[in-house]
Amino acid sequence: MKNIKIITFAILILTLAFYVKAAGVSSEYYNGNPLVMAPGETKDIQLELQNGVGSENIYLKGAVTEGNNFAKLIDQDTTYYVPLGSKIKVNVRVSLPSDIQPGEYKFIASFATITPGETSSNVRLGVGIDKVVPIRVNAPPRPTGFAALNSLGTNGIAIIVIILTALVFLIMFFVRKPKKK
Amino acid sequence: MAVKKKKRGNIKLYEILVIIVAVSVITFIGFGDYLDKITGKASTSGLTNLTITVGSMTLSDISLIAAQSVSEAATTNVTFSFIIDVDAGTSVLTDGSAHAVFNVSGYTPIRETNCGRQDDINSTRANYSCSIFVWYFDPAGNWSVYANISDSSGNKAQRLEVWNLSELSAMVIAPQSLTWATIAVSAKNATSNNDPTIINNTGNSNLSSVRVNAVNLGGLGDGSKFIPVANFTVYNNTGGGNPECSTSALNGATALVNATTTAINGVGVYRGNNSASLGKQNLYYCIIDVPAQLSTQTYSTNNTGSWTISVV
Repeated sequence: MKNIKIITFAILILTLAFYVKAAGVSSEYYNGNPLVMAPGETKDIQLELQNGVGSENIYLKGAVTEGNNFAKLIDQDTTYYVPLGSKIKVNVRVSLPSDIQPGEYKFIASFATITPGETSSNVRLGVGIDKVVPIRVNAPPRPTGFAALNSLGTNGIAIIVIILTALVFLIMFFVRKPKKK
Repeated sequence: MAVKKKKRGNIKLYEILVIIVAVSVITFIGFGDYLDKITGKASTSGLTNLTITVGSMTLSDISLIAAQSVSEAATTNVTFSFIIDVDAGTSVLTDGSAHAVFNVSGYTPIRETNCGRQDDINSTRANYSCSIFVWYFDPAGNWSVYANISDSSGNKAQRLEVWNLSELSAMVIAPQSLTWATIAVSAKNATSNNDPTIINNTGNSNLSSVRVNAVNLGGLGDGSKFIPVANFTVYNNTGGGNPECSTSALNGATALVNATTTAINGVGVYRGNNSASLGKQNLYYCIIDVPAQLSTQTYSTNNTGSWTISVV
């Protein structure tokens, strides 16, 4: 008979944790109600962390895991202490580049409990929430009136004057051209 | 005649020039934008309200309801007030008829309440207060609040406004740990003896994916020995034949990857009333192969770090 090594797994089952672990992240912006912005615009928004039904105070480590080229957590410490039964605000700054194309975008803010691996059993479990925040980028409003002229710049206005002058001369040429009999 | 014709020619020339310049200027200053704005489409920006006045009663204002967030696995009390103007005097108002309803498109049940008179602002104007409970699984969206009240003659005044209910992604798991009974080396398909991990969706977001970020289990005595996390599988089903150990079936169990967030095949947790056994998922675990080279000792996450069950 082969020598079978016995692995002692889970001796201390008596101390098995009956406690629960909970976390929640709330956002005013979600699919169907996106954060609406224009290219080049910056907005500060808030997410809300909750620990309403757990059995202990928790620490949540936060990070923007997708879309971090335009969204970032701006709190000094991005490890959030969330006492049992409380709600904690997370400040997020969304800064869109001025050359971003109109369309649908999103960022994902991820929060996970800081859970030590120590356990009297085999595996200790923590929880995490990935919160998707959709962003709708609208086209910037086209400038009108004097703003439109200003936006053309000196070169643009010069080109318009030249084109108009050329048109005037062209029309004068045809109008004054004597009819040949 | 020739002079007249030449004058007409000059006039035409000036007319053409004026038209060219005018069209150019109009085009460049964006007058077309103004035309674009003249459409028959209703504005969709901002929240809307609707007031209906019947007889001499007007429900003139509902206090602004700020964006609300539900609370995990609980009800949230949303309080607001409305003002009613009645020419005949507030004494004709029937307090018992003051009523308010919350609803959102495509969702039942509605949430409703009776409202109470707070005070009479003057002889023809009264203030009513209302509180409606919103449940944690009520969906995010633009909710309508519809308030109405009648007078003793049966005249009715009503008003509709809209407010935003935020989206809460939340979960609770139990228990917080996993255990296996003593297992022999080279054993196959050893299932956890304290699963499932019960996941409750305690928010109002449909959680489309459940993932597990797991790490190898290290030996407590000899840290050089470990059970690779790739030997663990997870599934939301168990029973005869231990389906949580089988990765062969379509959408079968999922093998974990060390230090990597791995989505469990086909497992999401939709919002719902946990007390009615909705919004729940169970996860079952299996070690499909205990490596032969392991030494006899306890293996755990003590030195390698916890596993994280996450949702999106």
